[in-house]
Amino acid sequence: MPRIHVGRWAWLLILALAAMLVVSACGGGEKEEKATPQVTKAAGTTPIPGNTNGVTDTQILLGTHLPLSGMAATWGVGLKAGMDAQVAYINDNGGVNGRKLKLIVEDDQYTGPLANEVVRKLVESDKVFAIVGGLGTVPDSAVYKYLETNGVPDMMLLAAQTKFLDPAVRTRYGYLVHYLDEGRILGEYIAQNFPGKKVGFIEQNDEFGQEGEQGLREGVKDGNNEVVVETFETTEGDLSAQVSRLKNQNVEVMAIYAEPIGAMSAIKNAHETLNWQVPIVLTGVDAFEIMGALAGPDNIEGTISVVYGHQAYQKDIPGIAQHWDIMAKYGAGKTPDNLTMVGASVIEIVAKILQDAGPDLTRDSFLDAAESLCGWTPSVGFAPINFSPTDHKPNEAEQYVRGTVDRSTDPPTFTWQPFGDVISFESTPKCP
Amino acid sequence: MFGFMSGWPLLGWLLDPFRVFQAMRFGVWLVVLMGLNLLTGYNGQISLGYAAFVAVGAYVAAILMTQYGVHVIPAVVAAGAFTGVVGFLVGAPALRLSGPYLAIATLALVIALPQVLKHDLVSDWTHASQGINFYEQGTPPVPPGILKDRVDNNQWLYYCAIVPGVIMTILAWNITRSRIGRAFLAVRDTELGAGQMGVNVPLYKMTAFGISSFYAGIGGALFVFTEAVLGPSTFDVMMSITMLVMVVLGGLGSILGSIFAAAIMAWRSEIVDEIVKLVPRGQEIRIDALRGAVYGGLLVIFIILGPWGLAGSIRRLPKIRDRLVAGKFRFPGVSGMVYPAVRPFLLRRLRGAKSADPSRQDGTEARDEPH
Repeated sequence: MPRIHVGRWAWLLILALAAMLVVSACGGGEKEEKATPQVTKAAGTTPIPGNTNGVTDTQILLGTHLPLSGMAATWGVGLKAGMDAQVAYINDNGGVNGRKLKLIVEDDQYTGPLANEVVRKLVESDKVFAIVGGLGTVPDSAVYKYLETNGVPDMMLLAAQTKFLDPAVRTRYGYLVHYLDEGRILGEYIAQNFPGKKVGFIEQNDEFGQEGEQGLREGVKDGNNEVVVETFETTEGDLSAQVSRLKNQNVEVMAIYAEPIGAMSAIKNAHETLNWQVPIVLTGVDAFEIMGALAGPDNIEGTISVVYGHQAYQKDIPGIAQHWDIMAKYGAGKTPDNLTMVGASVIEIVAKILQDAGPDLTRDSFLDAAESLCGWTPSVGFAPINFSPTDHKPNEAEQYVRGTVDRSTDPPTFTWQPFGDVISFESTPKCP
Repeated sequence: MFGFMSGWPLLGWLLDPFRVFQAMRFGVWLVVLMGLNLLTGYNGQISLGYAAFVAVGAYVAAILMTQYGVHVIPAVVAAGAFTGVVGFLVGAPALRLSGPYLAIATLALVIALPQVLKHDLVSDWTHASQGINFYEQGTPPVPPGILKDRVDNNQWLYYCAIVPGVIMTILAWNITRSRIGRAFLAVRDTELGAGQMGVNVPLYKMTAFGISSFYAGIGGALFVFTEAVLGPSTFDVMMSITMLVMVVLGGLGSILGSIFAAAIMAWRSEIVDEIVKLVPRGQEIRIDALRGAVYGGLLVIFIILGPWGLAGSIRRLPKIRDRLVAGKFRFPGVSGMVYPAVRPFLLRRLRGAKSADPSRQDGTEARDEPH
């Protein structure tokens, strides 16, 4: 290895320092810089840069970021199957206004830094027209402001924190029911059915759990329920300590705001390990068929949750039957479930807005069409989507479901059976 | 005045803005992984909690920049200094631990940190689980003043990352060739011997922790400045382990190795994509969901074939060929069963180039020197 002359390195160092000095001399101006205002509120006053990115005479390029590997891969893989099938179905039926859809799915492994990377790749390198159905609080938090400042439509966000949609931003639309609303509805169930009883709340220690708690506390106000909270970290898989502490505090109803693994542990520990038959109210995030297998059908039977649309097993509903047909033809062997339905539904809504935007497609015309979408019900929804310039939430109605086991089949089938009326909290009750 | 910047050699081929973004990531990882290599590669202390120090640096810088309006340069330096002091102090317990015990103890750091960051005592600064978002705080990282029209956002961030990257690389080069660097190596190779020769072993072990944490702090600060988003789960156990894997793949105890490590880290998604393309795929196999397994597999292959990493392997290419020809490699497990089958084929390929060196019959392998 030859000795490097000190002189050369010194020169490099001086050059580098000089560059730094230049940079620092003109620094300091960043503080006053707010997120570019033209895309935040005022509808369509300034044309958005890259207005026709991803649009050709024959194709519309869309992108999404999903966890296809890592701990949350189950979600991403199911959603991707539904999205791909719906795109293939639309293209086989002539596309949208004569243009075929093309969807690029990137893997973000449910991490912020990787989401940031793949979304920039989609926007800057692939030049997609819009991002659709990006999943997860952590990845979405990392990219939503980037997309907002660059005027990229960020459609059907699969994350439900208040900060994403309140107040509404021109380029961003949600999909899931807000945890605040959902927590309030679950709280109201407790207030009506268990008035005055002590509520034990299992809370995932992040924004999801905290917003759920806030909503739930609001919901139980009329029932004069006392609420005690036990928190846990997402890295903890075993919640036996939290559950047994709640039992020791003589809790009479347990409410759970946790992702599937945590929820499974809490339900199993209460009903099976501690043999504590406490009624359980569970976040709608976990109202998927797979929870039956995770927690054990006997343990989860009778658990109350909420859904914001029809479910995959309800094949007698035309929209669901259609989804089964689409998946059979284009689903590459994937069995339809609630996840593939969400994926397909995201694409269906985006395609509807693209259709409404007409043949002269730009990001502006697309966003204008989105804001005026009203009174239209997607095939798997049970309430119409009412958008307005201030309301970018499509699903604003919920129905209670009860975990039900059908023991006549072998193995027993677990489903979430809806009961009661559809509860609407639509912020745009009337279409203009 | 700054028009020349876009004509710089490093940017000439990086015309695609996304490529500029990746190059910026490379600059950030360069600083971060250089620090880990100083600790693990040069001083022989295995740390699984390195991401915790990066997180500390990132949080200090983010809080200074968003909440106290500190300019980016002093914020980055302060983050480095603060993390360096923290690391030096954390290094004290490390004096009594080594090998797997140290790895486990440091693992505790990265597991505990997210909960500490969400604690009520500090949540005013760290915003608990919500994390810090530069855009939400009204301080997005945009080119300042007169640079605004001349470089775009990605280019500006690229320079912000690559300039410290180069400076810190030169600094590492100098450290490893100084008295301190030689002491690090002596402690790594034989602690007892180093002590006998008059090296203050505890002091140098703590110094190694301090210096590597200084790098972690600077790297973390650059990370958060370029990323603009930071949460308690950004630097988790997986990140920590990934960093260690990258340094081993790149080459332990080598500056060039750290550069390779940073390159692999920055382009790892694409590298895995390319590897995955080699495998025939069907709907059932879904090899692209096995990224972790691909990293693990690469690691195993490197540990068997080239424990000196990418940097060392390139330097040793002639030597490796000689050893393959002379049959000096020992392959454990399944590879030992497969190797005899492919050996004649390999030999035919290799002998054509150069015959085995008969002088290398001792079968021993010299300890790697830094280069």
